[in-house]
Amino acid sequence: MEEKNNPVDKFFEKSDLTLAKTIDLVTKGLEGADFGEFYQESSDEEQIFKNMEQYDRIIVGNNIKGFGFRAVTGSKSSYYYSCIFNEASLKSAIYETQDQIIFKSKKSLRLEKEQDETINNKEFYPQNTSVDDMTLDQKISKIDEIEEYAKSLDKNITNVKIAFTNKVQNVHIITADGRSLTDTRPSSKLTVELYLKDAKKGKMEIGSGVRWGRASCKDIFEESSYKNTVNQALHIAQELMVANYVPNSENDFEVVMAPGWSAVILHEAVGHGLEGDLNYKNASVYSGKIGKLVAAPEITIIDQGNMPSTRGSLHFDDEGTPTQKNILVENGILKSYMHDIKSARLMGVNSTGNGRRDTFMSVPFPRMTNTYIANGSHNPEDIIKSVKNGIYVYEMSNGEVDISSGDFVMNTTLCYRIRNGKLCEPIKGASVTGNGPEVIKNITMLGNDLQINNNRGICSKYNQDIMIGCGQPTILVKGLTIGRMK
Amino acid sequence: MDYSKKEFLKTTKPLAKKIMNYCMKEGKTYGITNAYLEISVNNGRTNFIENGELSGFSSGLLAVTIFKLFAGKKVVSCIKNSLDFEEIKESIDKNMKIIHLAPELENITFLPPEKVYRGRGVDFQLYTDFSYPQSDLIDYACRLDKELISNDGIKSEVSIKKKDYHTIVASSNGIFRTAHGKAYHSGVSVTAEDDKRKMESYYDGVISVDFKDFPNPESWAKEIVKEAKMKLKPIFPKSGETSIVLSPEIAADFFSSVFDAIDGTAVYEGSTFMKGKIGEQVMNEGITIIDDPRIKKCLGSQFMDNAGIKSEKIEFIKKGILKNYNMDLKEARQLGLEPIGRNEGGYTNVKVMPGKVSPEELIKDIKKGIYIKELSDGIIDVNIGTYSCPASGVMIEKGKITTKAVNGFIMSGQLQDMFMRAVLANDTPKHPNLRDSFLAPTTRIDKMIVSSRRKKAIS
Repeated sequence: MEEKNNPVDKFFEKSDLTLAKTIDLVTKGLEGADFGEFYQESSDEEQIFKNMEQYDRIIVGNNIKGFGFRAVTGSKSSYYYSCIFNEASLKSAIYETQDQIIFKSKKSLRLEKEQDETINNKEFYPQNTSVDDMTLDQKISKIDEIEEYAKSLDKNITNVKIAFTNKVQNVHIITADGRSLTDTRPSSKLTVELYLKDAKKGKMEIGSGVRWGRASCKDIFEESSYKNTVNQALHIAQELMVANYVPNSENDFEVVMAPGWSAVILHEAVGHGLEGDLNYKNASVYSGKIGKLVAAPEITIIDQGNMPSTRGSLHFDDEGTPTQKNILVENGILKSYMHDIKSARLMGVNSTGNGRRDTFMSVPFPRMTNTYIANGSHNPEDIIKSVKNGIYVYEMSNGEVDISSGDFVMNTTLCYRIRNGKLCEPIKGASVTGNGPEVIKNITMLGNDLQINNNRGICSKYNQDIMIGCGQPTILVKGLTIGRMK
Repeated sequence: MDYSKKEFLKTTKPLAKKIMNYCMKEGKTYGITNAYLEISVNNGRTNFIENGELSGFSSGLLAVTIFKLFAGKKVVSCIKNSLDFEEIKESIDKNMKIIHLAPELENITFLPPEKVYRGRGVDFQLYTDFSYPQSDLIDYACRLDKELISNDGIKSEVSIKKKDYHTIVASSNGIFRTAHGKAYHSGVSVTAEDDKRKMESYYDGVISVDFKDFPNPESWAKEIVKEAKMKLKPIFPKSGETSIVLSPEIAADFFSSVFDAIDGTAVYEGSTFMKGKIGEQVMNEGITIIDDPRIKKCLGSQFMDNAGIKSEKIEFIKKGILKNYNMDLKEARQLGLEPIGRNEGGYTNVKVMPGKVSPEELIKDIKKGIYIKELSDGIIDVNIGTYSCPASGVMIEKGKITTKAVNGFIMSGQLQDMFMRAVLANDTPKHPNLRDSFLAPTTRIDKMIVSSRRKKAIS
């Protein structure tokens, strides 16, 4: 982002190409196509795993790098990638794509003027960071410290499993109109699993805590941060140890969902249906519904890729379009879909900065960034007080969603019973089933305690995994079914 | 662009020797005692078909170099996607300089030279120099897509891919082997829509070392459309206990949880209910599970594991009795057991051996049950034995599989009980298989818990 550091230079260190020559080749290579781009990546990564008091794996110096070249005309696209970056390889990529794409349009249509503006200089995450911000012995010492801290909390912890990953992805994009953009995208992850044993009962429960976001290794190892992660793991393990299974005979509960990560349902069962590629093909339940009421009148849903320090944020998407705040649903009315350049062009609108990909080996698609339900008007305490017989979903686990219909079945890690307006005993083994589009119509109380989950969330689409954020305030939903997993 | 076996060997053989020499020679200064190297190159092209014609493609080349350096009991490793010696050397130097910081590990995965398998490699017929032209693949996929979209209410996305992959492995204990493969894959995603705009998705795919093994595109498309349309207007089953029958594909998915439960690390950690159960009855006595790494044209085949131990056929479960844990060398050492020639978490070509009755016989006394055709990621916890997965399929009524679609439910049970109650039909598919290298027969499990959405389908 900061030109004074010439961040683009590192992409050309061992190549016979210069930036000027590359821009020239790329822009000429895209003549006759509607649009396209050159995407280059160099990612450094480290991983350290400790289990059963032993270091399982220490992986340092990982580097994944390469480039991709894409040409798009109408709905047709051609893409070539290689891990070898030199003039011959780039020319070969251009030849391969030009040779086979049907260049119907002779005019070279450029990006809309709005997207040609200088990129916001605000940093959403640190740019001057690397995997070497801490030495290996400092990281090992921190992991030992975390293990020691965890063991000090409960004598019944029999194992502390710690996984640390630090990745810094450097991205360089040349757009069809010759703009060269660079970005440094850090991602650090600390996962702590605690094995808690109750010798008398002969039981063991495993609780896990994770912090995984656009942060440096120093951030992730900061004392208050790792203690939060460990404490979360312990809380889950201890609660699971005393939790009962959800009664099999009863499943007519009102359901309250905790703020934050519960929005994974929103992401999966509603968000995917609002992605442009499904909608230009008319293959979503939301296709053709712009301007129509699709949610309860209090509901506003936003996808926002330009939030500082939030895991789904990017300075610009993987086609070079600046990220922005996109209001998808406003007061229940469908306002917009999420677009990359291709789906935007095919639907006659501008890209919303949602063109994302996982690596240089993949083509971008419309993907979410940070997707959330905006705050409502109720205190979360009042929402719980309003429930006579219900389930409070404290932590969602995984599940299945049909993104065409929005039908979902989600497992939970931990829930609590609500009786007569009060949170009661912990419950495990509960599943939540419903239909995403129906859920957002059936939210009867919307809290004022919005949390954007900043610790987890990987979205997989077409086998491409990307980091996303999602969030919501506390919500009360009618029409959901609680099932029993065991 | 193809990347041939000849081209790969020409580039990587001298590179591997140069890297190994460098590691062992320069590494002396840093106390390096051993080195392991793996170089692989994948290249391929995926074609995307929409509206019966080519809508795009993605192709490219990826090289990955992995090395591990050992200094006594200390080990560090690194991944680079480069074939450039100078670039790789840079990372080797970095790792050599920090290896003294690595903690000492017991049971590191390095085999003494005298224990490395020196027998001949096996040609599993996974690779030929011949490649079918892209035009043949595109033509196939276009025919498939045209047949799909000729049906009302069907939208489709079809892809077809060819991939070549080559690997060379070298280590200072004497391993030097190469492997080559070619795979063709076609994937289909279909959305079926009814007159009320209710949509259901269906996915299918085939993979083979030889494109000529692919099914006739028009016939395959007809099967896909039939399955996708059957999913429309589903009913939600009643919650409670019911008999379920798993299709062979879903049974394979279910039985793969056996390998989670007998995983060496889980056994070592004590986080699986299978710990200490070798020699005990852990499944129905009608169940035998065999893993055979030496089957021609099977993508899971290998003649030795990454540590250098010969890979041979293993009976993991014999007549319901647990015979082996699934371990790599490190896990075997942790458990004090003999290594079995498998990689971490890795089975090869698994077969759940056929039972005694036909699928029709297996089902005939079920008055009302569910035949499961799709299973999603759920919770499979081998620590306490929770099994809970969202599923969909069709109803079984009066001993017959119907066309009445059911979805919107989770099927769950206690794994230990499910293993004991599982009864097998005699229709285990044969290797090599177009869909999977893990094969199982139609499987019935009674008394499964179904948690359903209860309400009628949303229109």
